[in-house]
Amino acid sequence: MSSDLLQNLITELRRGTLTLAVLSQLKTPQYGYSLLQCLEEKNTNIEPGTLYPLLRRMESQNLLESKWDTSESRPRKYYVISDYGRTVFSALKEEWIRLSNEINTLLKEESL
Amino acid sequence: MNYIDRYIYAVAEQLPEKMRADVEKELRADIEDMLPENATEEDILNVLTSLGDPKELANRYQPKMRYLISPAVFDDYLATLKLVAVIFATVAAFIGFISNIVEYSAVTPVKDLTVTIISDMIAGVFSGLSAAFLWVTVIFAAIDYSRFKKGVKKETWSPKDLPKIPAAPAARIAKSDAVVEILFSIIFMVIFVFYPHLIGWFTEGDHLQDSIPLFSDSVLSRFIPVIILLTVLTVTIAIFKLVYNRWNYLMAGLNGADKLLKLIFIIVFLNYPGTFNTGFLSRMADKLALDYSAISSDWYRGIQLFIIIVVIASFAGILKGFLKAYKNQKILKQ
Repeated sequence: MSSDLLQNLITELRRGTLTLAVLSQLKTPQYGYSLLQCLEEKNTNIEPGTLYPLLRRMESQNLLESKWDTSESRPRKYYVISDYGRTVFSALKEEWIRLSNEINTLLKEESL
Repeated sequence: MNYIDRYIYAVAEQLPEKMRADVEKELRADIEDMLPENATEEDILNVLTSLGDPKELANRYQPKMRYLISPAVFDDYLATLKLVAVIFATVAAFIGFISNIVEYSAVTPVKDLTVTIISDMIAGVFSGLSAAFLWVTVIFAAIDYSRFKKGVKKETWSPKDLPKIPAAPAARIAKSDAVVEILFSIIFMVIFVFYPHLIGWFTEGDHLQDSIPLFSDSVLSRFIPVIILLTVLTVTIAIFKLVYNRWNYLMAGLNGADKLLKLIFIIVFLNYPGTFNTGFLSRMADKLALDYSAISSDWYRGIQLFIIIVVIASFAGILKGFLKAYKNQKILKQ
């Protein structure tokens, strides 16, 4: 029971940061799986079942742009950050830095 | 390979038509990217497992409304359901009771009648409760759904919008009063519209529908549309009373209008030529061994007295509303 609760809290905590993680990696176009690998290489683990729909939702929020590439044997949908996405990203990034400083201050105080 | 097709189908069938084809294509590419070359069935199963339940995946693609009745309106839903359930169950039980009484003939043993009445009333309660549950749920779900479709507009909330606290308990409109009003007006309507012969002169052994009715059928049927309209009006105003639950000048005005219209109806109806069945009056004269003309003039004098009482009661009811509204206003201004 308590491990379920913990899992829920962790998922909730991570949820908001996913957008930030995705925006940071899409300065160059990526398709779903390549982005997944790219994030994994940088030790950011995200479930594929969470990432794929997230890309689509972010596209509908105009944060990303997409394009089908059918030149290769397997057609792939490439996503890249939009101009609006860039604006949102820099604002989110600032907010993240501020927020993590705030929380870190609180946590340090606790560990003393 | 079959598993991939089945998985994609299971996701796509949950999605709206317009995005389905694109998601199918993208998801297939994503799955194939995740598979090693010459993938075995085990590889495929592993990849699909990592993507998780197709229903959950589809829901992430297209978040849907997950509530029939959303938490935002659930309290209102429960309160409405309780009220409507009480009203529906009471009316249905009453109809179960009255329909047996009306069809009763002296041939049926009283014991059997009691059994049928009780079972019909229980059945009435159940059908009333299920009807209440069905309608309240359907209506709330529809309102909720349209809110979801439109997207809930966040109106800026200000403490100034808070409703005023009713000044004193006396300024509140009692819930029970409004419910009783609804019940009585519906029961009254049911009797007048469906069982007018219930109000009549009975002879032992009569079927109740064979009684001599007090009101003439032809006059009564002319008034039925008015009776139904007045019932709808009373029920509507009682619902307003339940919702606003405090006396103000608007509520007092509505309450007054309702009572005044009912009063006018009673005066017009009782004075309408031929409202009272002559058969009823002559039967009464017979039974009391009195002259018909004597009975009839006494009868009409009695009716005028009755009207005076109703007028006084109505005005008392109208005045009560305005007095409470006035008191409430005065205390709020202090």
